[in-house]
Amino acid sequence: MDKDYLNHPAIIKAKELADALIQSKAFREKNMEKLQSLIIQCNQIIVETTKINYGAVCQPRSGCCG
Amino acid sequence: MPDKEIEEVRKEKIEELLRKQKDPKMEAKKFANAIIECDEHKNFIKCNEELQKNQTAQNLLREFQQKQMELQWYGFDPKTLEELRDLQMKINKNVTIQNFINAQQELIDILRRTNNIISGKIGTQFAFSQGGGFCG
Repeated sequence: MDKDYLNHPAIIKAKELADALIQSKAFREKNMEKLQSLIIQCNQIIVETTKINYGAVCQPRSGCCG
Repeated sequence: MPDKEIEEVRKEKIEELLRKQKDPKMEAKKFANAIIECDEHKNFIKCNEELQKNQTAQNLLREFQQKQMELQWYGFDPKTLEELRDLQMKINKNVTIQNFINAQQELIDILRRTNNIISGKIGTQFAFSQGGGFCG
């Protein structure tokens, strides 16, 4: 990863979110259904808080306006 | 060490681990707040507001979209294509529009990086799309 981004606050928090997901019961028990549900809930929180369609933005195929 | 004592220590260790365990939904909220607070997002909001206020830029974008639709609906037409190229040049020279496009790209870049990090760590795609574009 580019050096500039290592200390970026969003990158740091993204790593912490990833760690929390790894520590979750669903992940530890390899329960993909529960993990998927948890991922969806996290995405919803991100969308509600930022008002950005995080999923659509991060999918390489999507454009800026849908 | 007696079995009972070993069991107690084991229980304490498990409880300690559980106490340290972070709630993913809380972390998602913190992550979302970090996005809102980051320079890329603040710059995007500022550039978007400037774009909304700039009537010339708004008209250029509206005209451009209209010409694009004309080409899609009525097929290839050299005159419309020429007008579209002309509008594209004007858009490229418009500072407000270019600032907005650059700010949006920078924000998209950081968001994609965060998704790559999380997806890489959990071994599955994190960003979940329910359709729509940048703003839902």
